[in-house]
This record gives sequence, structure tokens and C-alpha cells, in this order.
Amino acid sequence: MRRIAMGAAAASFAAAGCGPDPPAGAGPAPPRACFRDVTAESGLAFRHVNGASGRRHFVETNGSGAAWLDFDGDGDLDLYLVQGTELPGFVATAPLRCALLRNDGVGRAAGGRFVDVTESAGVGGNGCHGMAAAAADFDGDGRTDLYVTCFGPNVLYRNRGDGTFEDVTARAGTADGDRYHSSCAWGDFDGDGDLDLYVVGYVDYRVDDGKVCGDVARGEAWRTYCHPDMYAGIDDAVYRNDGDGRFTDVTAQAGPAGRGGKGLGVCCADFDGDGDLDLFVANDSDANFLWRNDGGMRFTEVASAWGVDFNGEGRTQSCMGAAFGDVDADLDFDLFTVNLSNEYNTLWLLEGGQYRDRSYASGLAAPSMPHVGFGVVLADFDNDGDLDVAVANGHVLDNAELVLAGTTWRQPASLYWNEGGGRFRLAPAAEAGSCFDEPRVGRGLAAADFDDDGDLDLLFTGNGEEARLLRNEIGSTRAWIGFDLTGTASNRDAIGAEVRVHSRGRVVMRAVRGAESYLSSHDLRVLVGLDGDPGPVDAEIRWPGGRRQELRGLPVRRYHLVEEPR
Amino acid sequence: MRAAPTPPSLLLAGLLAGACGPQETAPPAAAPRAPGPQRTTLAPPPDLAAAALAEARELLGAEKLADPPAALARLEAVFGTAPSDPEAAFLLARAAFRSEEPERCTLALDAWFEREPVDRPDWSAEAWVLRGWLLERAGRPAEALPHHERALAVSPGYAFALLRKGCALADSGDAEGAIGSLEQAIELRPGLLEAHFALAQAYRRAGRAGDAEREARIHRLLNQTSDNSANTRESVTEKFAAFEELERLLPQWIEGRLTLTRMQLKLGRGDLALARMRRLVAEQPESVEARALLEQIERAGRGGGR
Repeated sequence: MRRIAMGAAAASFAAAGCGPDPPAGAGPAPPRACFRDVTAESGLAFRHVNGASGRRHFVETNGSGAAWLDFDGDGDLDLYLVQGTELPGFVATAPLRCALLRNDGVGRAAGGRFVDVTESAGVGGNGCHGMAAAAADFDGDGRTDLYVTCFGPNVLYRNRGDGTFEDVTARAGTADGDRYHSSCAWGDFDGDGDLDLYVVGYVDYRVDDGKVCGDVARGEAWRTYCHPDMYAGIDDAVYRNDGDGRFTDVTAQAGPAGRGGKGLGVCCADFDGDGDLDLFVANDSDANFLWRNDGGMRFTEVASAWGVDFNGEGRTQSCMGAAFGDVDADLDFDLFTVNLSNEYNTLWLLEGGQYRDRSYASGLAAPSMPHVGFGVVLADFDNDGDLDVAVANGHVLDNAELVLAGTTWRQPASLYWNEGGGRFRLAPAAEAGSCFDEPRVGRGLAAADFDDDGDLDLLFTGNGEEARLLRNEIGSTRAWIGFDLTGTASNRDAIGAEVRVHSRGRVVMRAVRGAESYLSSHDLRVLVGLDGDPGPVDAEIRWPGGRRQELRGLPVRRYHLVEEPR
Repeated sequence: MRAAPTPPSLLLAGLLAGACGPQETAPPAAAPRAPGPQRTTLAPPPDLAAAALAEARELLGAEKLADPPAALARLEAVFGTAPSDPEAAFLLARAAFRSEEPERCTLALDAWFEREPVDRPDWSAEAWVLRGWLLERAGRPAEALPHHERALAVSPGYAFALLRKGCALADSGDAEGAIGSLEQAIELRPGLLEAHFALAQAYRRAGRAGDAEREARIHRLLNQTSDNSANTRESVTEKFAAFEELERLLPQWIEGRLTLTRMQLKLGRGDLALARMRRLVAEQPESVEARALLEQIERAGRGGGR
């Protein structure tokens, strides 16, 4: 596969490529199962430890996430996986730490493997009970850094560029206290060209709070994790990047102070089209937040006005993961959240300046009812030009079979094909891959084209179990085009940039995402499925800050390195 | 001639809680699907039928015990997918709807309407609403409207049918019609949370921002008052405050004011409870429940109550 770099004048030249060329010709329909489990053959061996001992500490059941990043700058995506830690009543048999896995040709060369470089890189997580990871170049030095949220103080790792990281949390001022954090997102919220940070707070919980939940009168086996309603929500936090390695906590002026919220998921997009990056926070059994960016690091909460505070039935949902994406191809950002079982997953389409709950009409509601969704990805897995949906499922109660009727702790993941016309169809395992038949305790879900073949692969994390890597086997049978954007005036990772690809009268919009899903962050490149084989295409890039760049006659089946015009 | 219409119970409406969802879109794409359920009618012996009905009523009852898929399976096993017994057909339709089984629900509704008894207009009304709601969920709100109208013809005071009609109108693009229907629903049931939510959205679409804000606020407060799992000091305080604010914003919600009074009695604030009930009875002298609670408080104050 070749990459083509695009300069400011849209000149193109061949850049160093990697891996084999994808097969030519477009497949009219998915010829085989979409995803294949390549965990073992890739050398990925990571088991999450949730610290469970039977005491059912509330924090055990929510983690953990993962992030894709090219930490060594060799052009392929490495993987960071977040780990739990010991909790009262649980003693680990080996030291627990997060894992940084270097990609040594996985999927692109015979014998390619992930190699654990955590120790040498120095990113083990400082022993915190880790929750999320979000990778981005916060200091604009061209190297991808890493933020890890925890049950407790968070950690910011600065990439030194020599294969090691430096814990700069104290200097940066981004530990965010001894609080229960969940997801986080990078984004240039004040439009000054560097990346700020939004950190989602969950609930006011202490391991030693003494709360016991469940029908314990029937025996210890009936003890359950407490419902989040047993705890008060805590505020999210907003950190402004001061550009000198330090961040300033601007939560009080930004908006989230005093709002609580029990947040679990966060995603960013310019949903109102005014040129700055807004935020959606998925709250657990509480009204959701939609933070409209008013500039100057100030946000206004507009979930009610835009119709996403509750589902279309006016009900609070236990929202976990969330994602923005142009589901109906009308060039705006629709929104999808995944929720507790018996609370359907919710698709809000942006129509006429307001979000409308179209979950049932889309076919996404009913099949989701039995499942507890956490991670979620809106992506065009079959490269047919529209966004499909993948969801990581798994109940919060490890004894769900005992204490609840008709449900299970481990649950299969879901893949929905976008059939066009606003309709989705749950893909059977024969189409999705046998791994979608396998019950798991799904939590994080992060998408990346880790093998650079032009389609999006999936990394699932599990609570208390192994992470799984699923390789997309079919996407690249159709034409595609990819963009690896580098900001100059805007943030270097171009988080928030929108790419519109024009092909045969159709316009497809995708964006660079600074974190979404649940506790996870994706490949920062933009990949657009083109269906068929359209030949060269035109593209428009809307950089954060509003600058527009047009690129014409781009060859397909390539990633294009594009630098923002200076 | 039908018997006099009886408004379906609040319990039934509550079980069917929901509001605006789908809009009119193109018919669902022809996706490969498994064959739908076959129409079958079984004739169980009376004792087996009675036991299955009793079990289904329980499984469709209180939220904690509810297990609609189990009720669906039990009823279909005993009565088939198209029961000749009207109650079985009705309960099966309800169980199928709540189990997200639209095709099974349709079969059961067909069976219900084939033998629709005249003495259960409440069930008839609910069955029409289910028919309409299935169409709404399939993205065909305009087609749902006649079904909601039929429900209202059977039971004009059925607030939930007005709610669904309002939602279907909203999704059909008739904002003014939706507002009228939703306002009627709220007049009949001031505490119908979903109607306030839908009305707020309809007001917004009609450009009535102030009205929308008020309805959204009422919806949020009602949501807080219905939080039965408020376990922290903060959430209990919020719940109490929500009831108090609703007393000002939605004074016609008598049920809420009664609940607030009972909460105050539990907290030993008989003085506040007494004042609250005297005020309510003065405003709503026709409220039997309010008068009864006032008498109870006064009796207790005189030392004659428990």
C-alpha cells in the first residue's frame, strides 16, 4: 500500500509505502465474513484484571479501554491497553500494568507480531486502576502522547521520541484529583492550535464506602455491584492547553462545574456547523450533556434544546459509549449511544436543526434490547460509502444469570450493516465473523486500520478477560481512500478536521476523532469507503479553525498525507 | 352499541410508556429475514388456560417481576400465536410488543380483533394503540394515525392514545396538530411524563421556545419525582425539590401533591402537610383523595389517627 503526501498546493508525490498492494477490483457484496480474530497470530496477549474478589467493588465492572497510536513514528499503529489494579480482597499473582504493544509488521509481513515494550517505554500506568486511554500529540512536537484516566489521579505521558515516555502529569497539572474518571477526549476547544482535554467524571465512589447491594439475604452469591443511583454524580473537567507543557483547569468557567452527570462516554464533533468542536457526554442513568462550544473555552449545555438529553420516549437511559457520525449521508453529525439492556441503543439523526430519535425506524433498537452496550464504532466496515455500527456488549453484573431474568454476563458483540434509506440490519455471525457469536464481557472498542490495507479493523477489550483483535477481511475489496492529516495552524493531529470526498455525484463526510466509543481512542486517520471503483476522486478538507482545502483527482486505494496549507 | 367507554387504567398506560420515535421514511428495505411466525391456534384445557393466563398477568405486571418474553413464550405455548381466547390474545399482543416482536404482536392483535369482546373497551383501545405504535416504530406515523383515532373513539379519555396520536402527528410534520393532541393528553393526565417531553419538542419545532422550556423543565422534574432509586442524600433532596417546584408549575397534578404531602408526613412535618392539603382542597374541592388525606391529617392532629 502506498501513501501519497499532499502539500499545500495539492501536489502529490509517492511516499515510503508499507505492505502489499490491496487486491484490485471491487466486490459487489461482502464475499465472506467481515472480521477474523487474529489475536493469537498477532501476538496480542493482554488480559484485563478487574480486581474482582467477590466483594463487588463498584469500580471493578467498568474497565477498561484502549488506544491506537503510532508512538514510534514508523508509520504503523501500535496499541495501548489499559489495566486494572489490585483492590481490597484481591491480590494479583503478577504485577499489573497497562501495556504498550509495538506493531512489528502485524498483518503486513509474515510473522508480524505485537511486541510488549511497556517497560522500556515507561507507560505502565503508575499502578492506577486504569479506565481510558486517549492518544494525541498535545505538545505539537510530532510525537503521539498518551493520557490515561483512572479510578484515582490520571496520568499524562509525553512521548520523548526515543521509544520512551515521560510522566508529565504533575507539571501539566492534569491528574484531576482522586476521582472516579471514565472516558476522555482531546480537542482544540479554544481554537488556538493546540489540544485541550475533556475528562469525564463518573460518580463519587470510594472502595471503602461499605455499601452492600443485591439480595444478600439470599446469600453472598446474590450480592451485586451497586446501581449508579447509589452514588452522586461528579463533574467532568476541562483542561486548557497553555502551550508550554502546562494545562489550566478551566472547568469552572467552561460549564461542567456543578453539573454532576455520571458520565461514561464522550465524543466530539462540530454538530452545529459553526466551526468549532462541540462535545457530547453519555451519562449513566442521568440526562446526557451536549456541550455547545461558544468559544473562549466556554460551553453551553444544550442537550434538551437539541433533543438528546433523554431518548425519544423521554426516558433516561444508562448510556455507556457514544459516537458521532454522518449515518444518513446528509453531511451533518448524527449521534449514537449504546445503553443498558432493555433500554434500546439510541440513534439520533440531526434533522432540521434538532436531533430526532430514529432508533426503531432504523432497525437498531429492537436487536439491542438484550444487550448491555459499552464500546461503539460508527465506521464504514465494508467500504460501501455509508457508516455501519459495531458494538461491544457485556453486562455490568457478573452474576447477571443468577439475579436477572433472561440475561447473561457475557454477551456477543453486534455488527449492523447500514442498508441505506435509514435502515440497519444486524449481521449474522456468518457475515460478521464467528467472533461475533462469542459471548464476552465487552467494554472498550477501538477502530484502526492497523494493517494499512484500507479497511477498519477492531480491537475489543473485555472486563476481566483478554483483549481481541479482529481483522477486517472484506473492506478493502472495495475502493477506498485514506487521509493522514497534519495540522499547521490547527492542532497537529487535525482532530476535528472534516474530510468530504466527492465521488460519482456522492459526497461522503468523515472526521478526525479525538476519542469516542467507550474509554477508547481510534486511528486518527480518516478512511472513506467509495464502493465500486470510481477512479480518482476530489476531496475537500475543512481544517479546525475553518480553513478549507480542495484536492482534486486523488488516486484511490491510498492514504494521502496532507499538510494544512500554511 | 358498545358499552360506555372506560379509560384504560393508568397501570396499562404506564406499562406502555413511550413517546415520540420514528418518522415517516421509505418502507423498510427488503432485507433477508427469517420467515415470520406462523399463525396457530391451540385449544388448551380450561385449567391449563387459566394457569397460563394467571402466570402471564404476573409476568406482565409489576416492573420488578416483569418478564415479557417469558409471558410471550408461555402464552404461545398454551394458546398458539393467534389465541381464540380474547384475554390470551390481548396479553399475547402486549407481551409481544414489550418483547420487541412486532410480527408476533400483529398476529395476536389480529386474533384479538377477530373476537373483540364488547365488555373490554379498555383493552380494545390499547390494542388499537399498539397497532398504531407498531406502525410508528416502523417509520410509518401517518398510517398510525387512524389506529390512534380508533382507540380514542373507543375510549375518548385515553390520555396515552392522545400521546401517541400527538407523536404520530409530530412525526408526520403536523406540529400544531401534535401540540393540540399532547395538550389534551396532559389535561387528562397532568403527570404523563412522556407527553410533556413530546410537547416540549413539538413546541420547539413550532418556534415556541418559551413554552418548550417550560415543558422540558416539567418533564425533567417529573423524571426526578419518578426516580424510585434515589439513594443518595443529593438525589432525595432533588426529588423533594422537584415535587415542590412541580406544585407551582403543574398545580393540576394532584397525585404529585398528594405524594409530596405523604413524604412530609413521613418526615414528621405534619404542619407542612396539613397546610399543603388545606390549600389543595381549597383549590380542588372535588378531589376525593385530597379530602381524605386532609381528614386523615386533621384526625391525626387531634390524636385520633395512627
